[in-house]
Amino acid sequence: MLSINRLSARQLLVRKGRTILTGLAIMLGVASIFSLLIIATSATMTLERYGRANFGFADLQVVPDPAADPKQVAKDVASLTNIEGVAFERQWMQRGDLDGQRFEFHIKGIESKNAVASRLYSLSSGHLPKRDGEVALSATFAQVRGYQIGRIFTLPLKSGAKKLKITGLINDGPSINSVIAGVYVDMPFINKFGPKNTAWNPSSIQVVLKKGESQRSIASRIEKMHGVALVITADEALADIRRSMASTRSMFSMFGAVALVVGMTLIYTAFGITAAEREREFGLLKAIGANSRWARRLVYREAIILGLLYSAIGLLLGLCLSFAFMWIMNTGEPGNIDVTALSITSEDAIISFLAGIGATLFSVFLPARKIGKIHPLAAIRPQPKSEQSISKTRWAGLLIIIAGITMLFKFSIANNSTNMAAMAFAAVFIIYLGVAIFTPLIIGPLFNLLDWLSLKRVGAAGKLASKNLSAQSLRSSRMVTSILVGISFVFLVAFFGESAASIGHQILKEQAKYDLAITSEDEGTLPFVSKELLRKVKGLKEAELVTSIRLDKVKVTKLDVQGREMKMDKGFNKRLEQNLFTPGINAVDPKLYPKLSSLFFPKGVDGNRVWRQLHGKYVLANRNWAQTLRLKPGDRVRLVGKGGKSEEFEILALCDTFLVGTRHWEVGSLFISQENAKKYLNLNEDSDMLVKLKKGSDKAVAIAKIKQLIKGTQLEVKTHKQIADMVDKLMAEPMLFPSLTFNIAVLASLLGLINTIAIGVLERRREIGLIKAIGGTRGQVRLTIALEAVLTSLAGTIFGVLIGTGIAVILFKSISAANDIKPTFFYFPVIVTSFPLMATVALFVMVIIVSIIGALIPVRLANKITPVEALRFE
Amino acid sequence: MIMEAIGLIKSYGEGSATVKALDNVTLQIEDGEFVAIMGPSGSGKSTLLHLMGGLDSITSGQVKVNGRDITTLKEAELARFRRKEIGFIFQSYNLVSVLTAEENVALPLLMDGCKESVMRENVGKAINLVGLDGRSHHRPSQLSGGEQQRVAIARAIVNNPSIILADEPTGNLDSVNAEEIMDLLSNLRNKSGQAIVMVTHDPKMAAYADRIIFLKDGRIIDEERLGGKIDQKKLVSKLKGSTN
Amino acid sequence: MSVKYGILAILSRRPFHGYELRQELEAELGSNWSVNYGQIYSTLDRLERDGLVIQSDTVAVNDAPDRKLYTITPAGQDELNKWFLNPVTKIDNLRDEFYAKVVLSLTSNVSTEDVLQIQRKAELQKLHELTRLKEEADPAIELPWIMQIDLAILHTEATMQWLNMCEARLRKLKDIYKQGPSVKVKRDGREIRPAGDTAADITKREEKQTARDFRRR
Repeated sequence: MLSINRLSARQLLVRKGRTILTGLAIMLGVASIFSLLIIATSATMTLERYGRANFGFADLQVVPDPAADPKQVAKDVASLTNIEGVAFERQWMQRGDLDGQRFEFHIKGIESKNAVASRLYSLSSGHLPKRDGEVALSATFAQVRGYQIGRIFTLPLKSGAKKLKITGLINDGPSINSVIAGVYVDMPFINKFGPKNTAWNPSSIQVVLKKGESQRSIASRIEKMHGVALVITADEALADIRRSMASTRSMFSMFGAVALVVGMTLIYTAFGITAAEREREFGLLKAIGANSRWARRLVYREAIILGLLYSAIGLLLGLCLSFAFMWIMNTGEPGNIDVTALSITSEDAIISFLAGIGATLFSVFLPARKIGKIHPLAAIRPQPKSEQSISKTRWAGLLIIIAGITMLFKFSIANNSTNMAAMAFAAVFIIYLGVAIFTPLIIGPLFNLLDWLSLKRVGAAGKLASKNLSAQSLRSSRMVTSILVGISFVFLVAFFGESAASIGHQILKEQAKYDLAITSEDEGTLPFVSKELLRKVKGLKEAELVTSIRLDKVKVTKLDVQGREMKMDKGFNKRLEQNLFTPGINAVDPKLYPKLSSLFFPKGVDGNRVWRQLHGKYVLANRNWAQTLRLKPGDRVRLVGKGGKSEEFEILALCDTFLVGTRHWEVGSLFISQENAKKYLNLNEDSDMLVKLKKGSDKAVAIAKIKQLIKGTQLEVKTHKQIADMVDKLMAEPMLFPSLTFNIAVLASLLGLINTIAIGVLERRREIGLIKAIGGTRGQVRLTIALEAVLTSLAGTIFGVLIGTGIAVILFKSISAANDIKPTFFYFPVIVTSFPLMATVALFVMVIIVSIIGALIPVRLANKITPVEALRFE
Repeated sequence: MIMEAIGLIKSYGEGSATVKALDNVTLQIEDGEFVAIMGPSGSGKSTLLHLMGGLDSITSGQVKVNGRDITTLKEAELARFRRKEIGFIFQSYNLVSVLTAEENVALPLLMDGCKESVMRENVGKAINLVGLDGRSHHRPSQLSGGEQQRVAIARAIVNNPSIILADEPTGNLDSVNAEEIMDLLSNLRNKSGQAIVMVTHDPKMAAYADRIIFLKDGRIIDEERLGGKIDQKKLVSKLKGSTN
Repeated sequence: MSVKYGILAILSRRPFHGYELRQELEAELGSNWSVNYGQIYSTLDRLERDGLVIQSDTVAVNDAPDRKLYTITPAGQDELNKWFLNPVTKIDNLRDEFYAKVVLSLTSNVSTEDVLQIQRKAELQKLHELTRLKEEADPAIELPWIMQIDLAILHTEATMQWLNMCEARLRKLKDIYKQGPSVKVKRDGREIRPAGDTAADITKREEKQTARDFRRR
């Protein structure tokens, strides 16, 4: 018998075209979210496993004081009764080439004779290296390179290639970067060939506890022992990883949520149009006794059925999308995340599914209310399609936009990156909401203007098109708005992508005033730049300015700074704590360095004055580093250099460094004058050189000369372009995700565009029939509809680009404002805005093509119907 | 007296642009009475019917059904009133095209939240009363005009209302079908005793009524009780012998 | 029957001479109504006998009845009103007599709308009865009977439709003339002098013309 379900289902089945198009919007939204969540979960799972495996199987890791004797510390720790065993490990990273490919070798020296050691490493085959000349390799690395047990592995150390026999393969987690190679040797190897500065070659003590012991309580005890700098428990390490993964994951979800919001505007439009059409039907139901609530129930029931069906399809589609993405990743440049493992959790599926249904119900809320208000007499006297005026309450949208903008500027008050991102997204969402409400107020008059302008030399189709758009301004503006939202989001992502892609270049341009950099990619303490070399390079006739940098690591000891203990920001990664207390230090020539490379100082700081003062007992500190340790200018730190020589320095100013010389930016955290480095910290040896060439001199010649000079050393000469390329490579990785989002967003927007336009055309089937009934040709109908579609989507795209630009600029400005107060947003010291010209042009072209297609296909279908059939009321 | 309209006024517009569709209309409908409302177009007859059925808002005046004043009812109560006390029949049938005949008839019951068994029983009865057994599984598009109007009638009576309000029920039908429908309505009234108020401009249809109310310019200008005046014998003989 | 009432109606406006009456009747009701003088005089005699008209001598030339002036009596006026305000029931006379009534009422001081409504109600009653007869008849054995009833019904319906049309046309005229005496109307190619005429006069005149036009068709 009859039930509400049956009634709703029948209605949906009859209006096939409309049902499909509306459902498409839901489907896209759910597919986007689901695929993004799958990727996020997979990525985080992989990274988690990597992090876990990286940590190893120990219960605790004890980081000894670099000044202390790690062996002694290990003995002391082992003496505790709760300890089952202790083994210590030395780790060192060295870059090198294997068959023309550059790798990062993470060389770990292990106490192979230690009984516990075998428990700390998971062997997939073979055994740990027991003696000199043996090596075990990371299993994933070995697999990629085709290494097998028994073969010889040549480790390309800078001090000379070392041939080692492979004795085992170790499971140290999935590779997240195919450039990383895990190499396990026995301790004497490290002691012999590794860097002498323990800051470059830190050791850690792996502790295995007896069963049932509490990690944290033992850890606290050990921390109090002499010679111990830090103890990290396995649980805490895992928690750290999980926490940082969580924030990445929520970022992914937010992007997916935006895709869903785009879908929501489409659903809202679709249901709104349908509502107007079904006035008569609902009037009838009211006339025979349905009340508003019942009518609304019917609408919601339809929406639920639609939502259930299309969310389910969306899940399938999302699954396919993620497979596709992973496949593309795999066949693309091999590198980056290990993509073979897609982790599809029911949790993600449920979230996406519910999001789809929730979005559907939410978007149907207002149309349902309108339907509920339909007068019973609509069944008898269909209201003439008089112009529904654009309600004045839409001005409230402007207020909402302002509120969103304000919130955007305030998002920096959140105290960590995740919350900042969340607030930023929420603010953007609010702005979009306001835009969706407010824009019709502008579009209406715009189309009227267009109509007025088209009075002149425009063909019949053109006049008809513009008349239609302006007469039905509410409908046209709704369509424009839904197109606008999608397009502006696409544009926003493109903007960010473009800016990020160019940021490296831009910063480099501003920061690097040098032409050539002479450097080495290695970390270590081998002096690379001898005094002689420096003199020779300075003597080149092409060289105008040459300066050297000493890059080394120092230890920062815990001090009571002005009565406050140096504490870290809550939620910060404990593993990084190690690095925090052994920052890199750059000893530079305060007179020459600023001329060749610059640092970014916060507002209000006079750079010249800073450089002038640096020869005092001052250091400059990297802002991120300082803020993580809650250090401010004026605070003092004690630095420990070579041979235990230490001295107290005052922090003169904070600065941002993007690249120093050519090294990875994390390395350069402190700046000191070379004089002071030599005097107080025993750092005498130069590691890099920056060269500025004279105007008009031949760069190629200069490079050749320098190459000659540095022959035999581990130095390389790099041009600006090479550095820029390297920056691009570095930037490419984090940009991977936004570009994925961009693609999905483009796809969703274009499909949504077709959707919106098609629904608009379907709704006007009667009109089209009428035009033909009074003598219009198919061609004229096509032209009119196509023109309307193009005008509508152009309006939507133009506004979308404008609004996207506006939001992007505001977002960037607020990030810049935030940067002066808080930890920098994703470590970017300066924000660069770059207009994505190519992407925008491509977008316009795509939009025009797609809207024509989207309009003409339904028109084709509509044209097939005779005028009489079209006029017959559905 | 099953329905009473007292001083009904319905006006549209404001100030100088006011249009009075109904101007102080008062009438009573007795239990089981068949009343036809006639008048030229624009006389307000449809408006009167809408007001009586609670389909439109009343500018001033009252409508009482079974003693209850429906002008004070809230929207939900009014809807319930329409469901249970009134059966409305339209000129253009107004069936839901996606539902079968019996599902259309079941609509008011669905809105009432009836159990399925009750629904089936009542729908079956109504369909039987209008003589559509065997056609009840068809959609409106598969039914003729006359059959569709029967469905509409079945829908109107399925809840056993006190009054049936019909707005030009035969307007879209040819004369044969129209006659059938009018016969059906008459029979229904005779069998179940429901009052029927029918708006029509067709005198042949009005002839089925007990009483005719003439409406013009929103006012009742005349009333006529049908039956009993004509000399039947004379009429018959004239017919039989006439050379028309 | 209708000749009698036709004469009464004309006399109700003002007294006429005998010979004038034929002219007036024809002018009002058209050549279908051609009545010979004999009929008119015999009717006048009867009317006089019944006290519905009286004659007044003017110039008694040769004692010829055509020269006599006839005036309607109050009794005659009563009789005329009764005729107007009672429906025509005889089926075969329906068309002619009712037509006469409507046309004549246009130029009398009886409301044509009332005349229409009275007839309408009578027709409805007839319809009601016919319908009842049809319902009682058994289509299996009384088919010709039913067919005859059908025809009668349709005739009645036709009459009622005509009633509606008359009413509609009257209404339209009233609307036009509400605009005032500046509206000109043509008759027989000549324009009526609007000046000096009241709207009511024009209405009356034009209603007459309408009736004539209708009759002519």
